[in-house]
Amino acid sequence: MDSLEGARPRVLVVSDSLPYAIRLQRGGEPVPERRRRRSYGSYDSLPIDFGEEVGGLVATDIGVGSSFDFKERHHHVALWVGRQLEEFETIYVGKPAGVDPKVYEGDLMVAAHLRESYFTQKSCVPVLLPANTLHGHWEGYCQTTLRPLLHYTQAEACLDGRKQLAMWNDYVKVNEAFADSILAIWQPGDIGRTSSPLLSS
Amino acid sequence: MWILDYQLFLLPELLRKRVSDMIIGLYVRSPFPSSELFRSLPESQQILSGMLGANVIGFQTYGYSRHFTSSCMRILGVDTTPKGVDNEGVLVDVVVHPIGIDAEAVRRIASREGVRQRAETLRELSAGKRIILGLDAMDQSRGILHKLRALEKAFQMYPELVGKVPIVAGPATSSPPSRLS
Repeated sequence: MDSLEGARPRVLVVSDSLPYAIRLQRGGEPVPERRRRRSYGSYDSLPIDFGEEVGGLVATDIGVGSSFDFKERHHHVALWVGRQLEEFETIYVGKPAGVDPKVYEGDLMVAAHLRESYFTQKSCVPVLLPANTLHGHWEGYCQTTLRPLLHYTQAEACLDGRKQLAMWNDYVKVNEAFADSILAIWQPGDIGRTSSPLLSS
Repeated sequence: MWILDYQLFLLPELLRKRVSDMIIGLYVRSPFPSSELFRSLPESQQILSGMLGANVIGFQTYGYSRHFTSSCMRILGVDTTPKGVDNEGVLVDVVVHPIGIDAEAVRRIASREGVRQRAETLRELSAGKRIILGLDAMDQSRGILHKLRALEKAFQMYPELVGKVPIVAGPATSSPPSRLS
């Protein structure tokens, strides 16, 4: 990742999830798409199936020799932002959508292989977190506390102080893990002064 | 460095502490509530400080940006100006950049053969009527119930509309548009 003479400056676009879905390749062909049901967390009482999201990995799928291909996720805002920044090389940072944490939990080799594949193939930096932390962050603090508050729908908020504190701790942990992932690839001068309308206002 | 949304409100400060001259932007796609509501959050101070690690913070509307700066003033006790918030001597710019729609992508989708056929069928089924089309994520914040209530109110006020305004509604998700119905 040496910065080359005359290379475009890099900008990091950080969002909760990466804008690419990952798929396993076997023998050069993508494995038939795994179908993952989507359901909307806070709407347990309204089990609506929105079809399938393409891609995803489970633990039995992969080892350090696996190869992957990637597919854009539809209408992901990070991609849209990246494309407005034409004069930059864009690097995306986020959670790897659809990847079961069991794939990388406790297996440093596989985690390294995943990171390498995401980065070399799609300029993505996956933030790899354990399942319980992910749950406390998204289904927990984000969905039950922060999001309802921001949208003036606090009736859904968590009223159990101890549970709230545990979820908050997971929220902090996820933010810290993002910071670590970013600083691992950060180079001074990644972004200089810029004429981009997004950065100069 | 562009950071998107409330899942990562603490990230700007975490990065700022380790690389003091990093250029960090934070964009908030969600609304931001008034300071009276926001201060009821036990972690409101930490969240506001976290956000203020950014150089620039963007909101969808002027109202949300005002809510944010007044929350900073009342909860953190920091100085604010119409342009931003003072963070220990550094002015954090607070800006308003509403997200529009990706008109080019919509145009591309609308011109697909399958979509055109489907649109034609809908128009034939509803010849002489006005069609209302709604595509919303199935999510409380999208106001689907409010839209239906508005339509009900319109029917009460203008009974002549009854039977003349078919409504076509579908859930919009990150799934491919072809799967929406």
